[in-house]
Amino acid sequence: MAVQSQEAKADRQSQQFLQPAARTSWRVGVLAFLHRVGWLKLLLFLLPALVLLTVYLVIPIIMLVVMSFYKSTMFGVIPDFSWRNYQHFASSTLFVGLLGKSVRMAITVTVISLLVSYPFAYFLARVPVRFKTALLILVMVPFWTSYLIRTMAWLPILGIKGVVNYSLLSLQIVSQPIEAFLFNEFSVILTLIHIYMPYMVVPIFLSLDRLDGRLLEAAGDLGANPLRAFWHVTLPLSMPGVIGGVVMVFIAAFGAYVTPKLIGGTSGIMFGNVLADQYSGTFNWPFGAVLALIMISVVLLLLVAASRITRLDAVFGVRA
Amino acid sequence: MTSSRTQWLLRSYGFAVYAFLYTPIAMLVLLSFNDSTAITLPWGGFTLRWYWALAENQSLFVSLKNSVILGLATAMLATTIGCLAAFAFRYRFRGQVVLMRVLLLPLVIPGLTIGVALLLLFHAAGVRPGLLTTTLVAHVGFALPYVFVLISTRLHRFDESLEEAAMDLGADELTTFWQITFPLIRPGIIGSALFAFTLSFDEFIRTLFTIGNDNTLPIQIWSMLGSMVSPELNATATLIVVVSVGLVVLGELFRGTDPVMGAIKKAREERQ
Repeated sequence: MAVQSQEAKADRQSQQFLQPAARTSWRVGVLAFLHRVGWLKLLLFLLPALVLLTVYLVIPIIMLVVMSFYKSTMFGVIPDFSWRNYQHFASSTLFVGLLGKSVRMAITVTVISLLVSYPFAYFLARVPVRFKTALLILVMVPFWTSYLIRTMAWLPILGIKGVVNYSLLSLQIVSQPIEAFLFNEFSVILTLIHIYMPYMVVPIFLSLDRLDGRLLEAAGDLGANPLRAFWHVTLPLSMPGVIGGVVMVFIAAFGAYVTPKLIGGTSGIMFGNVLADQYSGTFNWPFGAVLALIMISVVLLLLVAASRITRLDAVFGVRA
Repeated sequence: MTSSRTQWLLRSYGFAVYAFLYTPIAMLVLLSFNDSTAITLPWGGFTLRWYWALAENQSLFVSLKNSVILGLATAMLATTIGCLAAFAFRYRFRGQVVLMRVLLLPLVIPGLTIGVALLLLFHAAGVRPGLLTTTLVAHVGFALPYVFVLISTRLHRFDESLEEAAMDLGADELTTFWQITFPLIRPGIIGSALFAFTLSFDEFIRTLFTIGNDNTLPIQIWSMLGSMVSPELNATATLIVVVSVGLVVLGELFRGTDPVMGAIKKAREERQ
């Protein structure tokens, strides 16, 4: 029944196509014009995205650059172009040190995420096909819940009265609650790993899943043991996924603001926090612009370096 | 022998990682039902009173309403703009690769710097910060590359001969789009609209710098974290988790019912 009615519908539709009189003449004219002037059609398709990109990305970054040369005074910012804000950054051990510390923490997060995620992605790629999609979605689900909430979820776990301490106390493993779980570098790194691990798992999984099993068989036939086959075949072929994951996790961890603010205390503070402080606490917008530009530069440098090693477009799953 | 042991090891490892990923959120949800004034253990028994407290919280309702409105507007705009751009990329044109990279650039620029830069822009332009002005721009810009990628990948798998057939039968481009192309990519479009809604619903950092005096749910949580620490917080967070997880699962289901993917799968099965 349903099939028949669908066929009838298709029939009616094809009849529609064959009746040029049903179309209004202006529509024919406009379409013909657009067809002739191909670039105009393309422009119409791209225009909304280009406008949005200009407002969302291009002009704001130009604003940052301009603002970074302004001068902050008691009465607000004034256009007094000079390098003073950059010099202020370069001569401040506090800010340079914090930049180094954030890079170091982001590297730690990235390396541990990689070590944890690679075998996990390997497990996902080897799972029977019928479970694969479901298990992959299970990885993505926490990723689609706000990082604010996933950060905050660690508070009742790591706190001095938290779940971990509660368990340790009731199991009589410790006699005093341990303060060292929360409000320091450790808790920030742990939470960042927890939040951004899916960024690492998914690209590695994709590159492992694409891997042609016959290559491993061939390696085995040629006398390589599984370990050698892994080292010489699997690992090199999964490199694009690894690099994609490393880039994404590093960028996310380096740009963190919420996590160090919520559970970093004073010792777990990161570059993003002092950046944000220039806009909410001390109101030094020009200096904040310098810090933001430095953050963006670090990210862009990493992207350039990574794109030298592998094609990053492939990592995003887009063929240009 | 050894291979079954490595298999077993690999599986237990996999489940340990899942436990790591899910325990904190599960704990949060569990603690939102805890009959105790502390946000953590000990377990004081099951209660719904934190949810009742939420129901009486007026500002929470306002922020929930704001989040939903903003999410809907973001989903609609981002999907339309992203879809149009994805269609442009079916043609070959000069500067295509560069433009693609620029379109994807927002994926890797830290949200904090975007938020700060947008604050500067709107301040300089004299735009008063608000939910459906400044924050909407921030959210649509944030969601656009995701939507663009989702729809592009869908269009890459699209069988262009279907459109050619329609054109051969005398349909013009608009008719072909509405009768052939759109119905086939509709699940992908609905799926990416749901993702865009979720992205907006969860967005925090760009919102913080662009929203002014309005409130969204994540901003509400942020201010609650500063002032009060009660299980009401856990209940609010659980609410957000349920909404986003529900929407993502729904989105996946839509993507799963994709006729294009279904046809490809069927063809593959027949070949085997």
